[in-house]
Amino acid sequence: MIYLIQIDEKTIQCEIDNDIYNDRVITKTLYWLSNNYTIYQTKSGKGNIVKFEKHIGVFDDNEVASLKSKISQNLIDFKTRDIVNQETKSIREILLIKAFANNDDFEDYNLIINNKA
Amino acid sequence: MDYSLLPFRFERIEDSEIIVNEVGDFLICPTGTSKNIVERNIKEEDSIYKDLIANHIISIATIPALIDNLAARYRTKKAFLDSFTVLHIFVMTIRCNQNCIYCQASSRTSDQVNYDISIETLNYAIDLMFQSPSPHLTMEFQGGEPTIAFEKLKYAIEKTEEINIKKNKIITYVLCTNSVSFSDEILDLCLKYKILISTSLDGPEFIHNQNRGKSDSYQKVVQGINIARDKLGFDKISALMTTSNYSLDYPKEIIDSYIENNFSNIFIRALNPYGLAQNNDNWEKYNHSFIEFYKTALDYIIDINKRGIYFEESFTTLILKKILTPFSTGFVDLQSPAGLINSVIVYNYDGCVYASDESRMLAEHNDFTFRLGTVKDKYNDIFYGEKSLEIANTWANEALAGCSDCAYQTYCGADPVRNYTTQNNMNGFRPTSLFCKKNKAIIEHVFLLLITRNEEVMPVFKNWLNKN
Repeated sequence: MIYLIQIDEKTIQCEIDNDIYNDRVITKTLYWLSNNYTIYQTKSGKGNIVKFEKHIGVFDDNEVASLKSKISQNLIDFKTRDIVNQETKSIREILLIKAFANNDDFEDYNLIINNKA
Repeated sequence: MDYSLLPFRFERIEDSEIIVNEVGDFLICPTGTSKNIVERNIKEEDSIYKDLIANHIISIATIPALIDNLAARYRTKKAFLDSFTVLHIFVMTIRCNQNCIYCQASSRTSDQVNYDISIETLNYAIDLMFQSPSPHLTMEFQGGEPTIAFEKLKYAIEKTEEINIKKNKIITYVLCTNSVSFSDEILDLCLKYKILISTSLDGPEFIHNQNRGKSDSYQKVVQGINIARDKLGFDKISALMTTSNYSLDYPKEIIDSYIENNFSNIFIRALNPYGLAQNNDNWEKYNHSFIEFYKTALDYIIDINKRGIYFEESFTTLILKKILTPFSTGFVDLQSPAGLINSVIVYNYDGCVYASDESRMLAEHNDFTFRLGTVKDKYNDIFYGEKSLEIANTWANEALAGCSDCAYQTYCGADPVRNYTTQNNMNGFRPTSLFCKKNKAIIEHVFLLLITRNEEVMPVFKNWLNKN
């Protein structure tokens, strides 16, 4: 659950727990929100304090609700993507090497050993 | 459940989630499926389990038994890289006899002869073209209006033919012309060397003439198309349309005009932000309207096909080929690594070499960011030089912020020139990128059609794919 606090009519703040979401996930989440807001991010203990300052106009209730929903959804989705990326880093490298290496230049035995292990 | 993940990306699409693996295979699943996959909540008895295995999204073994098959398919998706630069564009002149409101090439009037390519430049450029490793070459003549510089055009082809006696490449010639003033000698040249003609038709008379800034352009183009068809053969002439602001209200009329003029396809093409088109006052609004225009046009085209008339929307076919087949396309605007340099190079009339057609359009506004050198430079210095390496840092969407996690990455491409032109840097910024918004919206629309109207659209789409 993400809690948003309205600092003033143009600024919203939230705290994101680093134990749950790592910096990669938080950065990617904020990236997709940075077209509408100037984003200030500071570290505080295990958390990330993030301030969203509107480029134009002021926040209304609908926008606060929408922002909260987007942050929550993006954090979950980017965390899922991050797990996929981390868990499949090696297999992706193997796939690309196999795809582009000349057959004679690439020996498979290391893969077989690793796979058995 | 004990299974391994294979590389995949996902995106929410309306009430579903689309999961795409590394080679473009996709599954439409309930929202939250990806999260369930990574949390190992999918059980062997679940109906989706076998689909996830079959589509290489999860694997029982750490290294899947079919890894070689997957690798071959990955290579096939990137097959456009095998031959390196295939398309060699020669800008013969930027003189033109039309006055298009959206001219992207910053053309000059017909009497300004200083804007023609020289014989010396042609000789150097042809020599560079033949150094390409590709066994197939496409030599495309552009302008302005290239037929205005007819003697240079004739020289370029004859010189190429002469050199090719020894080089033995398979060469396709393409003449990009507005077709308004075909002479016998132009058509004789086209016939002799089997030159394909790519022309422009923006729709019915009132739209075409408005876009071209001439009151008789439509009549002349249609006349030119028919003369060329009679002389060269029906299939030697293709047409492209550009969707101006004015065109946006008339999707059906534009398609009807293509059918009336006996075309069996249309390529619905948006304005690009180069040349005069750059003056468009609201690109955000245009982009949004263009997407709606595309959807309306595609619906109309599907209805036409359902009535038994074969008529194809070619951009959709390109997307479908990427989604539904293992193959790559030769479409240079939607590739990763990008089409520039890898698939296309431009020899400009002034002797400079540019990374793409759009790059030379920027140069007409004194922006030489994508100038790779001159025709007198060595091949390696142009194609593998510092400028090419700088561009290479930004030409793969696999490594671009916002693209690297996108489910549609396999179907889309990177465009450093567009990013630079519209966002002042080659990396681009996806949250405000209209290139991203447009392509994502179109790909998503095609997927939605496949999800919600599958039985209705698949026979039509398969028909289009089978013809290509």
